[in-house]
Amino acid sequence: MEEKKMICIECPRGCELTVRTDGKSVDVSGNFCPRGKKYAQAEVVCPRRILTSTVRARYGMIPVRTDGEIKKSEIFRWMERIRAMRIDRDVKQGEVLLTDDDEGIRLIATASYRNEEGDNAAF
Amino acid sequence: MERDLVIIGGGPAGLAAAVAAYDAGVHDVLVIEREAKPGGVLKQCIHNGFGLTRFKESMTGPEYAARFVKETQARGIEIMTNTFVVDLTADKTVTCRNESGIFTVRAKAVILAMGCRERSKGALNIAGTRPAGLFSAGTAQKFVNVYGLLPGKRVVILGSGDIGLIMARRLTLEGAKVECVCEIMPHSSGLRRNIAQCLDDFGIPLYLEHTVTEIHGKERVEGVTIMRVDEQKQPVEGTERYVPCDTVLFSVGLIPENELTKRAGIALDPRTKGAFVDGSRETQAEGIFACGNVLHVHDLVDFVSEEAEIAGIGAAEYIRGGQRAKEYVPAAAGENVTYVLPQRVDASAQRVQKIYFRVRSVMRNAVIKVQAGAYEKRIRKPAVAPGEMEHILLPAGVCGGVKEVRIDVLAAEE
Ligand code: SF4
Repeated sequence: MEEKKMICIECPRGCELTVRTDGKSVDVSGNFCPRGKKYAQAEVVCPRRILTSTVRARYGMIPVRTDGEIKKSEIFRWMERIRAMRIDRDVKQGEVLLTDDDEGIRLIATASYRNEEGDNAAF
Repeated sequence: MERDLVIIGGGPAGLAAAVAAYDAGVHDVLVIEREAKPGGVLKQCIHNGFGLTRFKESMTGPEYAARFVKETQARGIEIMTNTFVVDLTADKTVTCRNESGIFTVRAKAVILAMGCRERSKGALNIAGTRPAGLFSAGTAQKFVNVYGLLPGKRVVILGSGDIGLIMARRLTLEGAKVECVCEIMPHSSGLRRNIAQCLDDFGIPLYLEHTVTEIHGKERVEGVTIMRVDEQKQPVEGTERYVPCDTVLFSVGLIPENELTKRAGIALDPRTKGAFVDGSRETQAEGIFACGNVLHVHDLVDFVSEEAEIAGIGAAEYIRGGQRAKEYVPAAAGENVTYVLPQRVDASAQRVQKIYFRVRSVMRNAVIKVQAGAYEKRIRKPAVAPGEMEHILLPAGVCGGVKEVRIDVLAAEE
C-alpha cells in the first residue's frame, strides 16, 4: 500500500487528496466532488494536463491551448513543436493550428489574430 | 456629451457591468478603455482555469474576455478604446483624453472598473544594486505572452502570488530555468492548485518564510542572496544562500488603482484599498458605483464578473429611479477576518445578500460564524486561506433593527 498526498487542480477549491494504491486499485479520500477522484486516479496512472502557450506570428503572438489534456510527459515535446511554428495569415479564435498524430489532440487559437502591423495585441 | 451610464475600464469588470446594466434596462452605456482593445489583463493571461465557477468550463483569459466582448457587441454597447479618463468629479463628470483631444462626459451614473496594478514594494527594501533583469511578474507575463520576448534564462521569483506561480510555469515551458520561489509568509498567497500545477509539476521549489535580501550584479542581475526569516519577518543570520540567476520576478501582490476615485473625493477603506460600498456596490458618492479589482483584489475573475453584475444592476436601478436602500447596517470583520465587502448592507433587503470576506491566516477545520442580532449561523470549512476569498449568504429580512452584521472565523471545537 502506497500513500500519496496531492492537490486536486480541477477547480479553485483545491482539495487536498489522499491517494492509496496497491498497484491494482486506487483509493481516494479528501475530494469534495467526484472529479477529484477521477483526477487522482489519472494522476497515479498517467497524469494529463491542458497545455497553453503562444505561437509566433508575423506581427505578434497568438495565444493557444490544446483542446484536450495531453500526457504530462509530452509537454516539452509539444512545446518544441509550438516554438517551431510561424504564422503569416489571419487566424480566428478556435481555429486549429496543429494536430497531434498519436492522440488526435489539436492545438487551437484562443484569440483571433489579424496579420497586420499594429494589430498584434491579443484579439 | 451626456450619457446615462459611463463605465471606466473595459476589462472583465467593466464589460460584465455594461452587459448587466443594459439587460436591466439602461441602453445608453459608454465603456471607456485606455488600451487599444477591451479585455484588460485577461488578454495576457493565456493560461486556462478561468470560468470554472461561473461557466463550469475551463477557459483561457482571452477566451473568457472574448465571451464578454461578444455580449457587449450583441447589444451594441459602445466601447471607446485608446481613451484615458483624466478626471472624475463627485457630480459624475468624466474628463477624457484621446487622439481627438480632451472632452467631458456628463453621466447619470458612473461605474468604476479600473482594476488594479502590481505592488512594487518588494523591490524597495532589498540591498544591493539595481541592475537590468528585475521585473514585476505581470510585466514579464506581458513580455512573454504579448511580445514573445523571454526576460531571462535563470529566474528567481520573490512572492508566491498567482501571477508569479503562473509565470514560473510559463518561463519553464519557454526554456528558462526557474531556480525557486521565495515567500516571506509561512503560506503561499496563491491558489493551492497553482502551486500544484505550476511548481510541483515542474519540480520548482517553494521556500516559505524566505526572502531575497540582496541583489547582485552591475549591468545585469548575476544572483541573489536568499535568507530564511523569523516570525517577525527578520532574516535569520547564518541562513544566507547565494542563488545565481539573471532575472528576478516580483509577485508581491496587487493594489486597486484608485487615483480617479480619490480625485472624486470618494472615501477608501484602508483594508481593501478600495471604496466603501453598500450591497449594490454604490460608493459613498451618490450614483457612483465600483466593482472588480478596483474595489478589492479578487483571486478569481468569475467573482469579478459576478460583482460587476451587481454594480451594473445597481447603477441601472439608480438611473431608472427605482427603489433605493435608505437604511444600512454595517458589516464588521470579526476574529481572523481581514475585511468584509460590502462594508454595509441594506437593512430592509427583501433578497439574499452575499458578503465576501478574506481570512487573516490559514486555518484547518474552521467555522465561519455569521451574526446579525438574533440571527446566527455557523458554517464548517475544512480549510481557509488568505489567498482564497470566502463568502456567506445573508438571508432576507434578518438585518432589520440590528446594530451590525459580524463575521468571525473560529477554530472548530473537537
Ligand atoms: S475534488 Fe472537486 S471540489 Fe475538490 S478541487 Fe477537485 S474538482 Fe474541486
